[in-house]
Amino acid sequence: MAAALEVRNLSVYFQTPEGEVQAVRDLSLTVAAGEIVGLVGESGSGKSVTALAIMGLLPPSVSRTSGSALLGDRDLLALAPDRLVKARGRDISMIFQEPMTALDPLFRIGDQITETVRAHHRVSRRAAADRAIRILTDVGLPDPAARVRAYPHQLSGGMRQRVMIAIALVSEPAVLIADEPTTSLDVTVQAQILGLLAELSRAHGTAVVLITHDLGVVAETCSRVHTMYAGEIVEECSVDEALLAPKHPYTSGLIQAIPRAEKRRQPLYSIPGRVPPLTAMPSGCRFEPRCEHASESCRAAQPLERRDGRAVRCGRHGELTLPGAASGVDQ
Amino acid sequence: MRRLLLERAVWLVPTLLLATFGVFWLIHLAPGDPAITLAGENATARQIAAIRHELGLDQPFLLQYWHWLTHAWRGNLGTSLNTREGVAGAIGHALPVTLQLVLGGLLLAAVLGTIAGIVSARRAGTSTDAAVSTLASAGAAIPSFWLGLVLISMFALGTHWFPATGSVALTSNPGQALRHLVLPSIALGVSGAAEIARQLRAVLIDILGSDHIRTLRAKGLSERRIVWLHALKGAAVPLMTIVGLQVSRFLGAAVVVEAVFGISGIGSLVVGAAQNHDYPVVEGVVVVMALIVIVVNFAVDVSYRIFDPRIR
Amino acid sequence: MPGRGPLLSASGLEVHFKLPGESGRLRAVDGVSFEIGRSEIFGLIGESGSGKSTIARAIMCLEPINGGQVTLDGTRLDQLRGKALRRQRRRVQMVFQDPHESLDPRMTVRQAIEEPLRLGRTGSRAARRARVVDLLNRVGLDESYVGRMAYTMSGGQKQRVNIARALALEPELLVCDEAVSALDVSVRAGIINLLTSLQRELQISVLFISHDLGVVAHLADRIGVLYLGRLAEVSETESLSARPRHPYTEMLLAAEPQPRPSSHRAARAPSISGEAPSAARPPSGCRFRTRCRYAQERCVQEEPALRPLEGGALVACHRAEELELTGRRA
Repeated sequence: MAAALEVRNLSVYFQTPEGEVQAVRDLSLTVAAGEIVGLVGESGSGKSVTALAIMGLLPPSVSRTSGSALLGDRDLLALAPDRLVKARGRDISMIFQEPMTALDPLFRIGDQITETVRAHHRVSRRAAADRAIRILTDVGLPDPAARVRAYPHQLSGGMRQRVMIAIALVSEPAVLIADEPTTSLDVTVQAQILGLLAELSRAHGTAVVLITHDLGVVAETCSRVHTMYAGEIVEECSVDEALLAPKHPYTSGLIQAIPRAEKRRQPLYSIPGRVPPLTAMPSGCRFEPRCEHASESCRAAQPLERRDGRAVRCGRHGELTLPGAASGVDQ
Repeated sequence: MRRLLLERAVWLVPTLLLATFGVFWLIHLAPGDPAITLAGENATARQIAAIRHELGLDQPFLLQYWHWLTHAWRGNLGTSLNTREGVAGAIGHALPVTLQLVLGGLLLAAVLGTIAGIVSARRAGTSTDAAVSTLASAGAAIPSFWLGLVLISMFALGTHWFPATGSVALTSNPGQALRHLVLPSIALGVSGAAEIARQLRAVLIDILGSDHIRTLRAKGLSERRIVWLHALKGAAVPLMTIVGLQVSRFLGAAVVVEAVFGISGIGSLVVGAAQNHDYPVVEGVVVVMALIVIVVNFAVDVSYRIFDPRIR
Repeated sequence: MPGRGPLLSASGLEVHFKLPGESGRLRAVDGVSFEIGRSEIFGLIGESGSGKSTIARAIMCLEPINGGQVTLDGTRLDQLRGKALRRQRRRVQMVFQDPHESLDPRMTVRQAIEEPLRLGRTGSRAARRARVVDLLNRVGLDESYVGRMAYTMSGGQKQRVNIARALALEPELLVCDEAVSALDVSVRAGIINLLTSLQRELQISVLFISHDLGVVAHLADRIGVLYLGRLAEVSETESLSARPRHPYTEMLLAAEPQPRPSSHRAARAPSISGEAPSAARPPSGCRFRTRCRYAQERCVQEEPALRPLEGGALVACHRAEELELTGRRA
């Protein structure tokens, strides 16, 4: 299938008082139309920075990117500023973690949708308003014809996230980046929003990059997953491969750290130590200081090795058999 | 809205009572006697006493205030002790002149301050921002009388672009009126512009970094629409608060600016009256000023509700 | 002298809030009864607006209660005042959600942990300092941390200090309000392990409040499920997961994202619908009926009481006996 978004060798640098630091290193990621790909990692792994870099939303005065993000034949990272503004919201959209603060509190939600339509298409006010009601129906907002006149504070968190999705998808973009879209929602609302994203992606062929810290969310929603650690992708494979037989010790550690009903009160695996600061990244494998399988060879830089549609950034992956989410469960 | 109006109206009474009584008391405490001034140089003690009696100045202080209050309540602000002219009439002449000046200053402050605030907020941390901030600090620090004198010497006495003194009513000759208004409005408005620029910059930097502005960028709106529509509307509530505060500040500062530019507005009226213990005039002015401030505060409150749907 | 009954019992607990600008009152906690046994971990689960944090605050006497009673070891906490209240209150300690907010950034670790000891006038200065080191060791931090300032530490380390501080006065009940919710997965695992081993060693009781069913089920002996200020179900953890008796519990279990490969995971039930209405205006009859796919006419008319079922579960559902509800998908 043709790639809707192809990110190649993306690196992101920030200027800090201590000098330039690299927040994302050499990240490549491909999403096909109608596919939902997970980008999973803990805080500080660089997943949100990756998303903002692809969207061109990092402040240019303190950040710098290299690499490319191909949307069809256009490279988002090389587009002129005015062309990039036009592409945002029309060809590639983004939704955010906090639906409570992501909408402008002073404008009616209908107006927030119609201004998006009118920023990208030459249509009448009337047509844009009709479009707003239709997209709100699509995202499952009850009573959309009346709700267009509501202000964000009159809606619940789940409703607001539906409105955010409506704004993002109203121009039928090829790609949607969803950055922790359900993290601040109740679990029953989360299930509905994830279901909605999957349904819309299937119906419109939208390619979705789903950023989350929750492997459960990935398992429920995505087909493939990229695991990020300290600014790098450490593993890329199908969700089932990652959960059944992870090849990177960090992926395995994340899985083992989740409480499981079958192992009630048994000690969970807890990855020792913490993510190194950007100013003091190990020169070799970045996970080496926290890895219980580390050996002498791990002090050298680890390339992302690709084989059979999987990619792993671990020199020892051939010799290790790491536990996944099904180990200890009756098969 | 009606509840708000009612609330404000309820506050009006104690505010006016406190303000008028305070002023009455201060005049009473100040040295000097209007009867002596009125009676002329060679008046006898008897003549002075007669005048005092006629004006009611021989009555106890509280009774004098009570008399004034009961009359004012019925809409009668009395007559000037010095000129024997009706107080309402005197204010009626002077007030439009001052309002013209205050509005001119306010317009200048709002337009200049908003533009400067937006420019420095959008370029926060750059040399443009630093230049605007320096200018704003200077503007806030310059005393209006000094600025007035500089403006007169440069643009009135130097280049003759604008008249140095006096004022013309907007209703009689708009062109001339505006020409007369330019320099005093600048003298009055610059410090307000600086204040508005400074505060708006801080508010806008905050707003431009917020989540919902990031959403607007992500959905492909132009930076112009984001700043001038969304961010500015977000800044409207604090902006209206500052503008409202400037009104009461300008009413006070107008006294000085009127003196510098030889304008006979409320400022010169009240200064003359205060010097001569002409309490009916001073009280009348205080009542009118308090009313203006209360009306402005009300308008600011109403504007909050217009700009921010979350305020009920 | 420890008694024989439950350590803590709340009965008919009510906490109301006045709503600004409205005449009505928000019944955040509306008649909640439960007991926590000695050295038991009792889990409370609920979504936003369920009243779970308000219950924690009411038990800590941080929130005045409008009805019902809170009894600690036979003593009515809600009737105590002043010194007597302070004496009883130290037997219950709390750990909050945000490890960063709940530590003064300018305090050293020693000061933070020593503070309750000093206020409680416990022992000499030297004895207190030894106790601080002992507490740090208990929560998995070594002596080198005593001089550290809070702001130099990670979220996980701060939460360990918070737990050490809560344990300083040797409480009999530890109230954890979303104590691991703000932490990263790998850090959260360490704190969960710590709580498990502390409970085992010290034999204290724990009230563990969370929105995350997976975490609660890992730790708790029994679980209470809250919905809009009322308990929907109270069950032993295993039976709650395997055979829920309240339709809301069933919905929570269905909504829980399962980090399992597709071969080990049933498809998500399509029956998760709606959002919780405002607690200020709960529906008539059963509060869950607006989202319940089993609701009938009776559920609109009549509010179900929490009642015992065969097998020990407590449930507030008219149809509990006839419904065959689905447990955790696996």
